Amino acid sequence: MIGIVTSLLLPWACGAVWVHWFLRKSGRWNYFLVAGHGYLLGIFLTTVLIRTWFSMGLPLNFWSIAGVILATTLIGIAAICTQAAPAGQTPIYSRLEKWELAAIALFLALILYRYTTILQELLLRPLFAWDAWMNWAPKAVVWYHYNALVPWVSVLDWLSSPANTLVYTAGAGEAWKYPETIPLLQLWGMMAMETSDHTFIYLPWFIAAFALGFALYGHLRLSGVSVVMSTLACYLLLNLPFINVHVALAGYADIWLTAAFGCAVFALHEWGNHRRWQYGLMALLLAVMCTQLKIPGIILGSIVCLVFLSSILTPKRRVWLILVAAFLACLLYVAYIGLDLSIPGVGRLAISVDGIVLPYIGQYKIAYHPVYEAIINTTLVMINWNLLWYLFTVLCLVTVVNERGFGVPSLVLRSILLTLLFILFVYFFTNRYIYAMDYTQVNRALIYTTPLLVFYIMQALSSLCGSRETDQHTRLSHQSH
Amino acid sequence: MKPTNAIQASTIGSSNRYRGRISNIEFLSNLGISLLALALSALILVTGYLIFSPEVAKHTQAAGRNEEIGPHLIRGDDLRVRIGTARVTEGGVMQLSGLYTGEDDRAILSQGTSFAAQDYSFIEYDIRGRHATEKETVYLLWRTAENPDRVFNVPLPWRGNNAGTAFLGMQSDWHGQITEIGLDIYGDLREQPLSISNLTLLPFSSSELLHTIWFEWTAFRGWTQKSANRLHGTPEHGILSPTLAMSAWSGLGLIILAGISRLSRSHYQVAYTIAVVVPWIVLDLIWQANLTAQLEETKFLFAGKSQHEKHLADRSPELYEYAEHLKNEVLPEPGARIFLLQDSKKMTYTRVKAQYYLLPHNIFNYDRFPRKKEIRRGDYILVLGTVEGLEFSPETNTLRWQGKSLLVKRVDSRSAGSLYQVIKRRKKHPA
Repeated sequence: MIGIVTSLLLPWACGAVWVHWFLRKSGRWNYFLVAGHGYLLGIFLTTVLIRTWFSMGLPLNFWSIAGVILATTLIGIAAICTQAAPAGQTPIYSRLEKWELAAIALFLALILYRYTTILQELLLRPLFAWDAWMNWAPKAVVWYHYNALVPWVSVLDWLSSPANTLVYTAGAGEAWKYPETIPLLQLWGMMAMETSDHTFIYLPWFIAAFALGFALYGHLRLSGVSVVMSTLACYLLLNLPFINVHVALAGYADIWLTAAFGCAVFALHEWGNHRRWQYGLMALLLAVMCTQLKIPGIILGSIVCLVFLSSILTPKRRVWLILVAAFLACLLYVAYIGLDLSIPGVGRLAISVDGIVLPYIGQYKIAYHPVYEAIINTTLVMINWNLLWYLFTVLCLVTVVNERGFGVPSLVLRSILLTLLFILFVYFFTNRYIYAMDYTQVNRALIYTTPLLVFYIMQALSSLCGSRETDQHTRLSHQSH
Repeated sequence: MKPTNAIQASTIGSSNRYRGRISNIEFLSNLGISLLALALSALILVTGYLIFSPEVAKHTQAAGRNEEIGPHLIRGDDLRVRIGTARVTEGGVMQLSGLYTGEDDRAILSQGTSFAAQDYSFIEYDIRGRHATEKETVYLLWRTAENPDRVFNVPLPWRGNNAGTAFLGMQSDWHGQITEIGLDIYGDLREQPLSISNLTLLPFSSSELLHTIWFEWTAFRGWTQKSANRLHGTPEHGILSPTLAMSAWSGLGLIILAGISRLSRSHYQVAYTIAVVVPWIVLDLIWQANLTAQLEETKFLFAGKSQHEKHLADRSPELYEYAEHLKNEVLPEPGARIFLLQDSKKMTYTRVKAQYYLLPHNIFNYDRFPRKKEIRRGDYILVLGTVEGLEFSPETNTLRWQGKSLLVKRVDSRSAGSLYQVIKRRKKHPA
């Protein structure tokens, strides 16, 4: 038991300590941010450490690796103690009205009730979800058995491997090349539990949801959204049925990618609004984490980088026009002539009206597929997302009407639009449309946008209701929570 | 660390009340207005649905033509047991104690009858002893005079109590003259008899429709392998999506609030939020009820059990037992290559789950037949069940398929599958 508790708390503590040290310098932080970002970065750091450990030829041993994480944590604590604190503010007690306390209690009770149910489900039921035992867990089980990161190869490479070589292959066609963070995370739990078959190994999925909730709350508070609205946001996000399923039936990568991408965009928002470099760097770090979680994470990580880039490039109108003209010219070139490059060490990149070949990611034929019925069903008719998509659509419309047109979208909205564009392009225009029609993947793609949608909705609602706290008040209160 | 440049709280004074914060009284006023708007919204929507929905109108017209038709009651003891073990107990209750064990464990109880399907749009059922199992399913079955050789069926949802209701009017096969009606029960009774008190066929009525919609929303839907991909929120082909209904409720509530604000020239900003949050919470609680029912089932199956016992209580215990047998008693230490064959190239549940249970063995899990060119001496071939066209000859220790053959040693054979070890490849078998 001490092993599993250590495996859960130590990476969290390590991540939190260093995030604390890092964000303190910005003068804009709170403990919810530290807890949320800290867990994600701490667990990511743990998987990086396991990889490094193995590449150095050291035997994978839980307590040795835990020792290094503990040492890193202690160094972090020492760094905080010796850190010259930036100009701080005196915490102030923000008195809440009784109705606010009642509303907060209601939302917290609903979250607590839901996650008490989910926790029991998670701890009782053996690994259930299909992809978990087809694509993700097998790598971890094999690594645990050999106490080494045995290579996984393609079907053809497996068949042609020499007799004295130990290689594995399994699952979906491309599963062998899925990023290793998720199986490493499972391996970490297995080493802690000293078995590859236990429900406790999947407890990080439970904590990942809470980390996302903490980060959402922390960022909303930081951006001046009231305590009630921030708590409401956590309720709206954490109690979404589809999020719940991915925690209760743990083992997929999607909740992790959702959390990492969500936190990256929250950090981008803070970077965009207050230009504290710490948040820019945090967003980029989390973008790297996205690329290491799942293949679509490469696109999501790129979206974070692209939006970050758009926030530092502020060209004049004339430059914008040139950029747009150049982009259109590229588009025309690709449409009529096509692009086919072989990038050394990366792979083939080909784009034409017939198809796209992306290095590492795959090959897709381009053709229109009318999947709108499935998209409408899954967002507006089924129970997956409660009323989230209705609320987002209505608030977008209200914002456009209120602002009497389209302004320059915020960094969050840019991220949402780019992500939706990517998802809709994949399902409307590539051969992956069948996964929208049979609903096997479309929700697992839409889930990545949900933290962003909730964050955007709360910003918009707070603006509309006028419940945004003044900057001064926010600065003062964020340290009290 | 102490802040070096602290701003004193006193400098803020009373300015910590920010724009948009309202007092308790103002909140109560907003809450009242919002609930009023939501009540009006619900009233308008329910009335509008019952009056204007084409589906409802179709049944209302049919019901109008047959106003004298009363409920059609079928007591438990009216049913004849076709398959399974059952007996009549006190009060005309049919108590089903055993299922017929065949390809599926099932029981069929039915009654010959004669009535027009269009006269009855609903069925209410009172069946005690059902549980939230993932394995037990109760179907209503019927035959028609127009299509006597075909048996139609519809699953009867369950909610945690004895009574339930289903809207037969929505079923495309519920038409013509019904000649036989009954129940088809599959799965696992868990040593608890199923007591069938009665089935009551009811003509169309608005109240019964609303009752059935609510029942569908709150009926239990257990985890399936599709749960991680999508959540319907209702049984398949449900009458009305709860998400759609809640969005309409909230949306109309917001419009009414806008109207009230305009008329009273007041702004009820928090009321708008409440008009969204209340329907959201209702939908959330519907989902919670399902999760809670699921947890009861999960506890029943797995609580207090070791991981080994949990696998035995899970969906494919026979597969787990077979894999454990191979791992512990037959196969050498992990490392040898195993080609797993099944009579489907698709990634079926059995195929994928077998591989998972056999981990950390090194398994190639994609084929129906061995890949002769790539197979090496010492490799293993695991055939799950039987594969059509793949034959083992014990006399010659040969596996044959599609004109090819392999010299193998049968290492283990059970009903779940057979394990062979390759001795050497053979030349192409003469046609």
